[in-house]
Formats: sequence, C-alpha cells, structure tokens
Amino acid sequence: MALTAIQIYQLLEKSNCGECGVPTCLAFAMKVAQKQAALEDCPRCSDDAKAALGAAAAPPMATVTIGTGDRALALGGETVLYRHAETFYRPPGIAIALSAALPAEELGAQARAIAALEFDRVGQSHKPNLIALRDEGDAAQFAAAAATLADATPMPIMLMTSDAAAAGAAADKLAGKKPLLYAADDSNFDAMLAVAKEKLCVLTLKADGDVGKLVTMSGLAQQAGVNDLLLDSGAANLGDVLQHQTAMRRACLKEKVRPLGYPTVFVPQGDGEDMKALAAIVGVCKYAGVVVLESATAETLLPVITARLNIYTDPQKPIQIPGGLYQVGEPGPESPVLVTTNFSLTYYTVEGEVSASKVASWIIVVDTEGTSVLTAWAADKFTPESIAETIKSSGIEEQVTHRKIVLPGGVAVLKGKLEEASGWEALVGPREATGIPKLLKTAWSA
Amino acid sequence: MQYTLTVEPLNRSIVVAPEQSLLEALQGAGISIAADCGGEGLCHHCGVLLVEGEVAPRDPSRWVERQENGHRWILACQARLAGDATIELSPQSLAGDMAALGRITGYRRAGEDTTHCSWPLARRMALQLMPPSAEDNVADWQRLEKRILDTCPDAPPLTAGLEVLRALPQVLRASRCDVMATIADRGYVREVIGVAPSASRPQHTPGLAVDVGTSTVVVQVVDLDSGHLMGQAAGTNAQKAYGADVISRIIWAEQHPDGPARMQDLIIRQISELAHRACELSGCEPRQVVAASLAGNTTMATFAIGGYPQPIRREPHIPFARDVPALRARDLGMNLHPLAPVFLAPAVSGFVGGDVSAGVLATGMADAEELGLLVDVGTNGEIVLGNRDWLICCSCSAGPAFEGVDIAAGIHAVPGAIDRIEFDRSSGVFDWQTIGNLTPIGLCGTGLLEALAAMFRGGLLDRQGHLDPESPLVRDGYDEPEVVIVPKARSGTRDDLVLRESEIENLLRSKAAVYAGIASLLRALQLQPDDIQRLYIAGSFGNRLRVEEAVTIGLLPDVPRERISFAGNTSLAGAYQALTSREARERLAEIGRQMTYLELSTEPGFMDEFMAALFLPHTDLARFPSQRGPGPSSS
Repeated sequence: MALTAIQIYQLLEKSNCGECGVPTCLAFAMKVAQKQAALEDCPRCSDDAKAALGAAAAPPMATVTIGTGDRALALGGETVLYRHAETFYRPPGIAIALSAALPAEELGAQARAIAALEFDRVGQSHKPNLIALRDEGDAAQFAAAAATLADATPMPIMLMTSDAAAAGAAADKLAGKKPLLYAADDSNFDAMLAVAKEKLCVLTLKADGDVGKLVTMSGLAQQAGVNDLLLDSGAANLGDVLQHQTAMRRACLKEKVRPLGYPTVFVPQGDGEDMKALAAIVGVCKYAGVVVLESATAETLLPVITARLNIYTDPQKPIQIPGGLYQVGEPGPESPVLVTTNFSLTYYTVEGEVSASKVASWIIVVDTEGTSVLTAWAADKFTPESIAETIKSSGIEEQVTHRKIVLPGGVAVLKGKLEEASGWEALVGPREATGIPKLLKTAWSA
Repeated sequence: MQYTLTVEPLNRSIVVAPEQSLLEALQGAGISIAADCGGEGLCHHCGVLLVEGEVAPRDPSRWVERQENGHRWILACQARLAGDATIELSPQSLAGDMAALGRITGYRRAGEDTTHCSWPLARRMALQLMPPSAEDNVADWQRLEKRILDTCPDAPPLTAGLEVLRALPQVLRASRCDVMATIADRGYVREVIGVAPSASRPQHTPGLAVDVGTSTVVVQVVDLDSGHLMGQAAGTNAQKAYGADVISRIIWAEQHPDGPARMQDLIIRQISELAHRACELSGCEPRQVVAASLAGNTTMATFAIGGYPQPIRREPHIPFARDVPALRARDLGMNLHPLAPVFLAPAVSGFVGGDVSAGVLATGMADAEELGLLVDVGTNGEIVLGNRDWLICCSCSAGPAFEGVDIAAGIHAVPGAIDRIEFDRSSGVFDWQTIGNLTPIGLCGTGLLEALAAMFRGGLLDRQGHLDPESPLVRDGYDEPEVVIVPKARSGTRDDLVLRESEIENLLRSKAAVYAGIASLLRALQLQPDDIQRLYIAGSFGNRLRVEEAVTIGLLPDVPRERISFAGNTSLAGAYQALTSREARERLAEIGRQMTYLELSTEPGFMDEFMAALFLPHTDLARFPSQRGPGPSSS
C-alpha cells in the first residue's frame, strides 16, 4: 500500500523551505502521495527517506505493455477499487477477432480497415486497440496469417491459440512486436511459458474457473522470469466473470496478493456477436484489461467504446461542456434564450428544467472553465464581457429575431453591464433552475 | 427642553432631546444596540423595555409595542421621550453576543502553565535616568536607549522617530529624568513612540484587540499592563451597504475609482468609533491607546490598508501579504496614539485570512499533539485540520443562510430569536425557546439548525429535505410547500413564522459545503473522521448550539460528542493574544507560514462530497453510525 501524505510528511525535513516550489512540506507530501511529484524533487530529502518511500511505493498492480510503437497498449497499474476514490488510469484494450482461415488478401484488408477506425467523442479520439488472430487448427496457416498482419497493421496482435508450437511460429513472424499470447493453461503451461520467454511475448495465464489456480500459475511464471503477464480466470458465465474480476482486483489492491497484480483478459462467450458485445461491456465495467469483440461493426464496437469512455473519464476533473450555443427541442427565431456556465452539472440542471418546460429554447453556454454560476461570477469568469462575447461568437444573433436573454437570478447584478456590453435586454431569471419552467411558460415573451 | 434617560443594566444616565428617538440618543451616547434596518422600524431588533416614564411614537404607523415581563416592550427607533424615563436593555441587545465572545485567555505554549508575557505589542516603562553631568555627558537619546536596553537586554534593536527625538530634551529636563517611555514592538525593531514625564502616567496602558468580521466588527480595550479587559463594543460592519459578502464588496471596490479608499475609510472609521465607545466604557481616551491588533479575513485586511482587492477573487487568489510589518495608526487613519503599532494577523490565502490564523492560535491546536479540527461557520466557512506537526486549511462558501440571511424568518441572534426547537411527533407541535424568553420574532442560525434537526427527527422532513405533505403543519405556500414553525397567534411579528422548502434547500447547501470541506481535508490526508481528537466550533453559532443537532443534520462529522467544544469568537481571542504577547505574535507568524492551503475549487472530489452531503444527514449513512434512528425514509 502506498504511503499516505502524512506518512510521507514524516519522512521530510518539515522545514517548509519551499525550495521544491511548493510552499509547505505537507503540500509537497500530498503531491507525492498523489504521484504528482517525486520525492527526488525535494532537494533536502535524505537517502533513508527515499529508500523508505521506494519500498512502500511499489505498485500493487504491474503495468504491462503489449505491442510497440505509437499503438503500443499499456495496461494495469491501477490503484483503486472504485473509480470515484481516484480514477481508473488505463482503459481496456478492445481487440477485434479475425480468423486465421481468411484468405491473406481479405485478412490484410480487414486488418487495415480496423487499424483505420477512429471515433471522435467530446474532442477525444477513440480506437480499437488490438487484432486478435484466431488459430483454426492449422499451425502453418496461423503463422502465415501472423505474417500478413505484421505487414498490414501497426496494431498490437493477440495470438489466440492453445498450441504452443503454433504460437511460437506465429510469434516468430511478429518478432520485436511484443504480441500477446492467449493463452497458457494446464495443457500447455511449460511450453507456452518457454515461447513467451524466448520470443519476448506478453503471456496470458488462463485457469479453468478457479482464481486460486491463477495464483499458482502466476507464481511459477514469475519464477521462470516471465513478468509480462495477463490473467484470465476462465469464468464459465457472466456472473462468474463479474465475481472473479472483482475478487482479483480486490485481492491485489487490498490484500496485496502480488501474483494477482496483473491486468486481465476477457474473451466473451455466448451466442452470437451481439451477446458477446454486451458481455464485453460487463468486462469494461469491471476491470478488464483486454476485451475481445467478434467484429468491428458500429453496433457492436461503439457501445463498448462509449462504456469505456464513461468508466475511464477522470472524475477528479470537473466535467465541462464546450462553450457555445445549444438547443433544447427545436427552437425558432422567437424562442427564449438563456445563458449559463459550462460546468456540466450546471448546464444539465438548466437543460433538464428547460426540457421539462417543453418550451423549445436556446441556451448560450459561457466557458467558465467548468465552474458553476456563482463560483464563476466570484472568480471573474462569468462577467458581462464574457457573456457578451459568447453571445456574439455563438451565432445566436442570426438565429433569433428578438434580443432578450435570461440571466441566472444569482447574478442579477450583472444585468445593467450586460445590457450595455451586449445590446441585449437581460431578463433576470430565477435563482434556482427549478423556477425556469414557470418563467418560460408565463413570463417569457419574445 | 431636555429629558434624562436612565439606561439599565448599564446604570447610565443620558440627556435626550424630545425630538430624538431613543435609538439615536443611545447611539449618540455610545451605547450600541442592534438596529439592522437603520432605525426604520422594520427589523424590530432594537426593542427595549420601558421600566418607568412615558414615551410617544415618532411615526404612529410604525409603532409596535407589547407586554414583556410586566413592562412595555417598545422599539427604540420609533419612540421619543415625553418626560424622564428608565429603560432596560436585554444583555443580548447590546450588539455582539457577549456569551459568544469566548473566554479571554492569554497565550500559553503547550506544557507551560504561565500566561505571563513580557512583550505586549506596546508597553509603557517608567525609567529613572541619571541626569547628565560634566562627567556623564552622554547625549539624551543614547541615555534613554541605554537605560531601556539595560532593563530588557533580550530585545531587538531600538529606534525612535522625529516626534520623540524632538520632544526628548525638554521632557528629560522637565521631569528631572524621571520619564515614562512608550515602546512599540515592531518585530525586527522596537520603537520608542512616546516619552513623557512619569508623573503624567495614566492609570492604564490601553490597547485594542479587534475582530474585523465581514458581518460584525468587535473591539476590545485591553490594559496592556495587566492583560485585563477594560471594555468592548461591537457593531455591524459598515461596509454592509456595499454587499453582505466579500465578493460583492470586492466587485464594488473594483468598479469605483475611489472604491478601495472608500472601503478603507468605512472600516477604519468604524474601528475608531467602536474604539471610542469601548474607551468610554473603560474610562480612557482613544489617543491613549498605544497598540492595536487586528484579525480579519484577507478581504477585510486588504480593505483596512486601502488595498486593491481584485487579486483575492481572481485565480490563484493571492493575498497582498502573509505577515504584515506592523503599521502605524496614523498612516491608517485610526484615531489612536498616532504612532501606535497596528498588527495584522497573517493571511494564508485569499480566502483563509488572519481571522483563521488567529483562531488556530487561540484554540492552541497548533501546539497540541492531538489532531484538532477548527470549523468556523460564517458566510465563508473556514476549516483547519492539524496539530503541532502540520496544519492544513480550506475555505468553502457556506453562504449566509446560517446567519439568518436569505431566509424570510431568519434573524440575527437577537432577543426574541428562537434558538432552540423540539418537535413532538405524537402531538405534532413545535416547542421552542427564544433568546431572552421573549415572544418569537424569527429564527437565528442556531434556531434554523435546530429546526432542521427537529423536523428531520420528527419525520416532518425527509432525507432529501422535502417536507411531509401530509403533515397539518405543512401547507402550500407561494410556489412551494412551507412549514409553519410558529403560528401567527403566538408570534411577535403578527405573521406566521414559516420555513419554505427552498429555504430548507438553502440550509442544506450551507451545511453540505461545510461538511464537504471537512471531508475533503480528511480525504486529502487519507484520514478518517474518527482520527479527529478535538473539534472546535467557532463563529456564528453560539454556545447554545447543541452538538447533537449539528451531527444529526450532518453539519459536523459523527465523532464522539465529548471531543466537540465551542471556542467562541476565536478570531478575537487570537487578536487579543497577539496584542498581549510577543511569543504569540511569533507563533502566529509561524502558523501563517506553516499552514497548507487546499484549494477546494480545484480539489478532485469536493463536488462529489458536496453533492453527497446534500442529504440528511448524508447520502452515505455509514458515515453517521450514531444516527441509527429510523428517520423517515427518503423513498
């Protein structure tokens, strides 16, 4: 378990010298505890203190990297059981399965298409991460397919086979690309371990539904010097998946069971692609490191990406929406115009009430760096000037014929200055968003 | 024609002209009583008992009177005298709740049982100098300097200004070298600020301890020789006309070219006036006051020096100074001894000021081994966590709800304010007590908090703060449900005293902000509420606040009750300690340096903590194990 800020503070000189750039030693200790600073940043830190912190700071869960280059995928290194306790750092890799039996041309074409997939969500780019090559029982075909993929895509490759010889031959075609082997189990454990060690692959250890067995396997792999590991409990059904994933994460973080301190792989079972995609979302929600999808169609891939985006959004950062003009319903040139800030909670509270009023409206959102109305006002971010500026830049003046804007009641004081700065008439709205429907239904007239 | 008005329990007689209101007469005589509406007959805070004599209304349309304790209760602002009279002020109507001021204790370091202090902010020393002679021809200033340094060798270097050097030769000769020197402690140096013949020595050496609050300013006159309190006065901060909160005042000051000067003028004039009044009660003159120690939030300190306040509200919220070198009364425009040193308690950040560092000093938490938590509930809630090893603080905007602002039935802690409430579930009635046992005219902060706790326990309020629509006490008010706390027939305002659901929401937000601040500090250091060994409550809640109620609504974390104590006005107590002890001033500077400020607006998780705390007592009942009671379910 990492040291708390107070434990780290006790290791420091406590002189509040400020040479590290932070005003007090306690503030520095808090930064170290949150991994925003390193103990080395303290010019007065003793070697004993560094040793003490180093020993305690060894992460409970290893970070494992699959593949190389720009699209290399780092997994693990997670520190918390619950997202709200801090954040989840490394989103799971989404692997798209392709059969080794496909003709080389088609396999290459599909791999290229998958590598080119990219989705834009709230300004971030989202992609599938791996190609999972499925062995169809023909080692030569498997190796040839691996060679095709090596040429066709920069994405990391997951080699799905239980035949150690086939794995070895395919891994040769991917030399230097650090592929993921899936998986070593009871039937091939020593041979797979040897392949992983010799060909520098990441190795998945797969049990048959018994988490305890993973502890043994992982211990043996570590003894053999193979430390780039992923785990799969081999859960028989979705209920077990949930249970195993939770038990493994808890054991590694809370009980410090080091052999379980690796990311996990989840290959959904079940009938049809759709059910497997739904099952993959369960994995995304519950700690999976890699999930495997049967296809990259929009209807299976996008929901998984959306789930991943939501679970792995950092709750520590105030969630903001971009500033600008928003519509509720289908507003027209006579519709009401309201103004608020870009703190998500604020915007969606206002949006919810406007929606409930069933009066189609325009909402102008001022970028206040994710702060609420009164906070932004107090910190000089929600000012007559910034509102007037947003009115101009939002394009609302081309959308409506009137020049009337509803100002949050809490900042009624801005009314006069806003009217001067914008040329719009400011109508003082309610202090609480709950009063919006009444205002829109009764008091508003364009 | 003039009448004589006798004022009890002060046992003072003042002369009143027939056209004057009693309030004006009292104010003119330096007797401060609460009058929040400015004498318009609206707030009913200036009520007094007419014990003897006759009065007449100034404006019959605003006349209010009733019977209290066998006497007529009248509004001082609306009454004029029709002959000699005697009135009685309730102790609370003397502005500033004396009970909330806290004990006066000198500074003492942990483990030391003495509060003796060698160096108040200024002191007077009687010195018999050897007269100069042909053999001993040392110059006058060096003669005085050597004598002072001989008396107290442990001190920093000594200096003196023009006035003293100019006056010294005559004073020495007129007094035959038997002089009294006034010496100010300016930190790095000490300065002789006055020299006079010993024979003219006044009985006391008065100094001021001042709490410059956003809402209320309190001034104490302290005898620096003995440390004894000689008198005190309090008043509503005169800047209130420019906004109830600091942000509004900062914005006003920013937007007017003479804004900072105007704000300074208001606060300095008010401190001077309160000092004048307190001096009058103490039997001394303001010009005799040789030192002043001020504790106020960063905005108040900035205004006190006439500074530009905008950086306080703009990120990253920087104060103009942490430790302020001692200023001179004359430079600030204070009507005290012109060279009197004025000490300002150090600020930690834009929103944690000298009032908080003074509070930390006064509670002694910075010298204790046990982990302490100081919670100062005002419009701005300030929270400090720590012990002698480390201190961390934060500031959360609690809003003025617990000061009775923005709540229709909310009032300050004045006579007639409800400060205790029970709700009997079976009979469905409220039972209350008021300050001074008068007819209720509103609820003060403590009363509002009690009301929440009582309604929640009694099933009138669910965990989300919604009123039970089935209760006969709940009715449809204007736009929203409201609960009748005191029916018209029993209220002193001729109206029902009600709480609206939106007001309850407002109170929940206030308490949630404070709780979320506490939780965020604990979380930042990975501590649990149970790690808190001592919890000090300072600020607007007086001693009447019941700890149990504060925990019931989730304002304070659920720690064993015996660890919670009321510290009163810790800002004033800290200012007093800094006034009377050099050690205290040095410790205060250390506290200012040592304190780590946690900025909640960028603190991950504060908003989640806040949202989670918007319930009674909290979303997570596991945090309030002692609230095992059924309470009404929220679903």
